[in-house]
Amino acid sequence: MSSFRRAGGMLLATGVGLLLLATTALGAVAFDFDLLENATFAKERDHLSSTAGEQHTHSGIHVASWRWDEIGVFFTFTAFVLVTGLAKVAFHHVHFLSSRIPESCLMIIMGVAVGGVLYAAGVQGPEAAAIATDKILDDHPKVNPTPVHESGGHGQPFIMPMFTPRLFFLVLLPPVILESAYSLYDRAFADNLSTILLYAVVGTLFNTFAIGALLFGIYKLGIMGSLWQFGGFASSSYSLTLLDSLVFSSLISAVDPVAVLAIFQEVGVNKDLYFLVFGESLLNDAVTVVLYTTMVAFTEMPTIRGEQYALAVLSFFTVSCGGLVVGVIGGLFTALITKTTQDVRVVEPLAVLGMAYLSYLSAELFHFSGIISIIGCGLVQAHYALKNISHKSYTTVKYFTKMLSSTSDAIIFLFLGMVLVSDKHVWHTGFVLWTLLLCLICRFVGVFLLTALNNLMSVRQIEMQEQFIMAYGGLRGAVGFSLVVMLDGSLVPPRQLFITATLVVILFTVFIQGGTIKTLVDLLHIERSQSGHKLLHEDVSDHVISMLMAGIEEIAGARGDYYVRRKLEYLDDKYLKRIFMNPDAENDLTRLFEKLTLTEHFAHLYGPVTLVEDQNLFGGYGSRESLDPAKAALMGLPPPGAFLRVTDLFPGVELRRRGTLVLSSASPSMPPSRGRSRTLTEGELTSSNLTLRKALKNTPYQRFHYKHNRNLIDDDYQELRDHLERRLLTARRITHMAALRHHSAQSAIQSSGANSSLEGQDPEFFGQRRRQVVSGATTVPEECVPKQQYLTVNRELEGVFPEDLPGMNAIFTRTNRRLSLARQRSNDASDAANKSLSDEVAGPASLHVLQRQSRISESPNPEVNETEERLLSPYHTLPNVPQRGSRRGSSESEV
Amino acid sequence: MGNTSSLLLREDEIAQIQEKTGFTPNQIERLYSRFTSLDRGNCGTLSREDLLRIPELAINPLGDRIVHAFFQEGTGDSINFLQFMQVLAHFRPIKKNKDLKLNSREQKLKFAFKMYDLDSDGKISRDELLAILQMMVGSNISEEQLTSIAERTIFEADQDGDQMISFAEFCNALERTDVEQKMSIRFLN
Repeated sequence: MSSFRRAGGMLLATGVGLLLLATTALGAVAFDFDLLENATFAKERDHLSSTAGEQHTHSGIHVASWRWDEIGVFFTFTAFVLVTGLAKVAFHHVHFLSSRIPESCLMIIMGVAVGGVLYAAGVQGPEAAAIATDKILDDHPKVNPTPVHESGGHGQPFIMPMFTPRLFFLVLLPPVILESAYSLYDRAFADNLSTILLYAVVGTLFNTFAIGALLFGIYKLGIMGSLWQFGGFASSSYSLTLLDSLVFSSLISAVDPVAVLAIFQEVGVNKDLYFLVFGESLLNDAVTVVLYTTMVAFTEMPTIRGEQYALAVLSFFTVSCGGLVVGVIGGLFTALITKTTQDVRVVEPLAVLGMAYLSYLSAELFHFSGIISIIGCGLVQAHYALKNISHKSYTTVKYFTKMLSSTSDAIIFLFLGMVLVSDKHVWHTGFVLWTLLLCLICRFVGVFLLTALNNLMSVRQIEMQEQFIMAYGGLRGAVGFSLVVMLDGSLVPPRQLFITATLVVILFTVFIQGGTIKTLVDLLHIERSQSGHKLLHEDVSDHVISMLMAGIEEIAGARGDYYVRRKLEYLDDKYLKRIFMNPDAENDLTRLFEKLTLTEHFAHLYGPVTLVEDQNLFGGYGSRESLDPAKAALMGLPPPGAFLRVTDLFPGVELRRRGTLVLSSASPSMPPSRGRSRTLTEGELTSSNLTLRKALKNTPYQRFHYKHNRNLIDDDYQELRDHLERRLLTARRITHMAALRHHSAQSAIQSSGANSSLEGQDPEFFGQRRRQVVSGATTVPEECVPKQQYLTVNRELEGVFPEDLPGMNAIFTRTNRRLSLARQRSNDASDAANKSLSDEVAGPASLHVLQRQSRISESPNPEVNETEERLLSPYHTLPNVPQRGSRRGSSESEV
Repeated sequence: MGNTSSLLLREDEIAQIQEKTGFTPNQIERLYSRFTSLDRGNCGTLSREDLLRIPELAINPLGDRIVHAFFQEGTGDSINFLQFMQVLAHFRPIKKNKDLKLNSREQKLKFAFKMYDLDSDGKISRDELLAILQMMVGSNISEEQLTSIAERTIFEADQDGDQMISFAEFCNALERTDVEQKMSIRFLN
């Protein structure tokens, strides 16, 4: 861990972590020591423990006492979860590690560390306890009731809680699944649902039966070696049955490809593939658990008759569908509850989380799949309920589930570590190696077969490199481990063997595969692009093109299941949303959208153009000193003397600054330095190539869909609202900047020409001109600009400005000229269109302006709701700019 | 929105669009239904707002330029279905033998070029490139690096030494890129 010490915070994290770990160990050891000293140590047993009552032998008052046996378990767990959290901080600071190695490596190491400490301290792991009390299914973390005296004073004083099916299924698993379900709620998930289901259901079934049958076949052929000689089994004459091997294969095919999502993120795959893998990893868990319970049910039957196989197949469907129905009902019910909670906000997170858990439990109550139920519930909640509740409640729900799920994760890995560090392992080289091999082979075959099928049917092709990542990234994780530990030794005799094999598979996949996948992908990538040195220009264009295509796809909506989707959306809009959502629930965001996008749009389009045209995108502010500093500060600009930075222009892009940054301070009139295109060395070139590639892949937009974010790193990038707010800010800044530029340029001319004080005359002068322009009374200086058009754009731009901003007119004029020139150019290209130009431009446009003007005059100040006011504060005083008269009739529906 | 009457296109309209854009009648109907679902006002044309209302487009760094490209093709503040289809036709995959002019390599490149050409003067200047880069990059690049990358990019592609990239130079620089494939969408039948 000492290698992590790079920053002060990290040092602290590590230090505290080690301290806590040491305390835990000390506590465990000290307790042993205490017992030797004093057999009648005060043992205030947990009130949950039924047999502990007789232990109360000491009833005095303690000035100081040591209550490890009572507190220790909770202490250990809390300390472990906390230490894991801190270790994550350290892990993510070391980018070299976190970009190469899946996080589960870290978790396993942590688990093993604690497991080792507990083992060394002689604390009994959950393993023995689980065997002993398998049938009790006790899930409360409590002290082992075995009296100390009876076991000779120093038997099993401090036992970790048992890892039972109940603990796992009812406590640890639901938060993990719910968290993923919320993150899955994305358009890309719905778009690719059929493919995801194909991979999750068919892929898992294929893996289970292929691995199970092959393993059994190999055993029968005798290649593996016999199993009976191993002492781990109850009977020495055991031979592997098909059923046992199927139980094993069902749990070993619980793939957890979430780890490779980080690598996908690095590679920069499109969102469809991302969601394919993410969705698979979640739904695959559900399928695995259903399969596993079916298989285990078979082992409990003394004899299996033919029709029971049919029943098993049937139950597979009822369990899944039943779960889904329960979940959806739960989700809808949440929506109804949250429709009523506007006044008592505290109920909102409670209702959402409570209903999710309740739907999980009720599904389990009917023997349906709780996982599928909570997935369904989570998705429906995300669609309706999470939009009904307030933004703060939403954040609460989101953060709380993330926290719960990472706690669950940590606890599962703690158990894994404790099971791993034990002396009960049954090692069988043949079995373990064959399992490993078969897992790998089946995963590859499965992925390649299904991808071939998918590529035949769907629009989106999955490339070879991506297939490789998917197949090789089939890591095994917590779910497989949990399932194997829960096996009943009396029903499945080779339980210990299975546990050992599963652990080996997990360790192998997580450490070896997970550790090498990045390198392999890099190798593949390099091989592919070896064909020639890639020019910077090609890199840039690649990204421009992919963004462009992403945009075009959004517009064209070129996706599968189009008709069905449209019908569903229609149904949703027309009926379901009316029932399940507050009428103004969505409008918060929608209104923000509809009000602002157009003004922003024009700002984004013309702001940079104006700046670029002046060739001083990077120049200083020129004669900006002439501007009143107070006024400049009011406009949100940096103080005079500071140079214009990229970050000022695009606040959404937080560029890293290197030392003192001074960009060319050339005056606005000077063209950008030309002579600077020196030839870079080869090294510099590749490095800038790499930086660029990295920077392009790391944009907020790219990350918008990378929803699997268990650690909430750069969480803002996943919220549409944050994106929109950033966009708004950017637009405002750009226009400000452009306006100011012109103002300073103009005032420079004026001060030299008219020799008058700027401060006194300036605002008045421009304000007047602007008013003239707005009212349409003035003659437009550029005769080539049709008046109506000019006004149209004026109005659009006008909305962006919070107050009378000097220098605006110049921008209006310039953008208008540009617009009309562009139109003319495109019209000149086609001769036939020439005539219709005048009609079309003059006709609708002027009508438009009229409508707009009448609207403005009759509705001066539309009511604005609270949230909106906060967001729109600079704008809302202005006339409702982007509204388009007649066209806004039915626009209250979804974003 | 769900207005079924507006879902219907006349036969001759379909034929006309098919002739002009090369889409199959099925594709045209599909895209028409998309068109009507985007058309919130049910007025048979799309405005800039209609397109910007797509959330993903609004947060796409090039979203504004993409929307703008739709409207440059036509005139005024709205586009009708034919104009909409004409823009989309650029992105049809290129099939052998029957090559329509809209989806040729050159047309595709022209569309991409428009993304850079902020002031539509037919050339990409250093500042335009820089502005585009700024819109697209993430947080792990310094400003000097970005400037030098922009300069370097111009330098690489510039052949006549005017420090600008013309459309011809742009095409040359992308000679090795598989534009035909990258700038195509498989529209569903």
